[in-house]
Amino acid sequence: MSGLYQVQGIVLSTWDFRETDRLLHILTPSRGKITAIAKGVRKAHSSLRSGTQRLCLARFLLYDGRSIATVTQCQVEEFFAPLRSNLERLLTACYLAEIAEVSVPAGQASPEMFDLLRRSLDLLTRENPPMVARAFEARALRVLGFAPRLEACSACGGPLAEGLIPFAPGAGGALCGRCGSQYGAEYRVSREALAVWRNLASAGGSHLGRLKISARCRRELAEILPAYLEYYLDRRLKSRILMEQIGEDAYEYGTRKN
Amino acid sequence: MLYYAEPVARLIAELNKLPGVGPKTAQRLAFHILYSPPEEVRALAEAILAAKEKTRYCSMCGNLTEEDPCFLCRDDGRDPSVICVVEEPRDLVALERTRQFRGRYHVLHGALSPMEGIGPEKLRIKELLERLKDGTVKEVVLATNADVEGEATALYLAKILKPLGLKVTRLAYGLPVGGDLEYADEVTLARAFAGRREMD
Repeated sequence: MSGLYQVQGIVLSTWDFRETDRLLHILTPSRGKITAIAKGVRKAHSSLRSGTQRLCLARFLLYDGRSIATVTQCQVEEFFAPLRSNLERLLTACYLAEIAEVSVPAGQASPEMFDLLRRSLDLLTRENPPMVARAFEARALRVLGFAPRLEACSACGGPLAEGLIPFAPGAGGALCGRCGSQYGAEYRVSREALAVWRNLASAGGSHLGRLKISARCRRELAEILPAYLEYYLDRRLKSRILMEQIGEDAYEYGTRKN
Repeated sequence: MLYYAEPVARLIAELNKLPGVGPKTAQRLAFHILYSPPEEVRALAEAILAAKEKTRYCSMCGNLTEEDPCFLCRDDGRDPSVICVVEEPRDLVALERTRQFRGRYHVLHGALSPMEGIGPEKLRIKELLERLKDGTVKEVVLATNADVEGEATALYLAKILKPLGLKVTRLAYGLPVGGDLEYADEVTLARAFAGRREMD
């Protein structure tokens, strides 16, 4: 099918192409991930410049060519400006976009993932970035069909162990004591962490600011949620590596206090 | 099957490796070279070799130079208390063309890219911190691009430089000279509005 069509989308990633062109990956609700070319966009006077920026929500008028679409017009709907003035928010936004980028196949409609990313970028402009990331991971796992079993043993269905609960991404979630040693569970997590995970996966993100979570539980979730997601995506996410690295650099240069 | 003589095919193949040069363009360039006078072809070949062999990075600012340090770092007339940080040598040239900045430069050779895995260790940030150690520099101007990578780099640098007690500034956002308001995009207009200045 070729011709002009309008679509709302979030720019996930961009690459410079030729002298002044740029290639884009756009996540749309109806057409999944689209690869498009924005011609002449790197010139100072191009009217496509802001709408084709990474992490921008815009309405695009695309011409469907033989191999990739061409952006003929675009209008910015939301630029998420506060993300661009805070390093932690910006890196977290890139992390969420990378998850969407690697998990949505080209051309496969995923309105749930589009909606999740749009809402999460909006939340990220005002809520605590690590908590927005955890909520996004928990919801994304559900959207992708990889949601773990958290209320009973994912291997035998029996009740979970008392105290710290064995947890193994390969087994599909939490385990009872017996299955935990059988599967060689890599993690031990508290009941509170599993309860918060369930809450994050089922609720929207609007309640994030009101959630009361202990520092220990935040640390547990920051460890197991990304690890579980990366296990099923079968890759280390580059933006997560950079987030960890920049955190360490900040410590090294003495700009953050433990 | 070879359609061209081996040296011509090789020339086309080498030209085809250049950025933005496809097989047809490579073929056209190769024939242009073949039809050119020998002295012009020799001058081109010598210019390519000389550019590659005689240029290196300035040990101070990271700019491309024939002599180390580069002419900008050797120039005593420039203000050593201000350093302008740019992503690429091309950006330095663009700023020099304005003749507005009389301080020194520092070229990072890239920008942080979360999704491509380009971290601070791949940029010349350690060298920048070395330059700041003697206390001569009072202001660092962050002149990275106004895209996600450029913003991430500027925010990161501001985060590590501000605790050192330096004045850290960022280039302003706004309308291009000669641009019509009617055709300016919403984000540029909003940023230009936010950064408005009182008239003298």
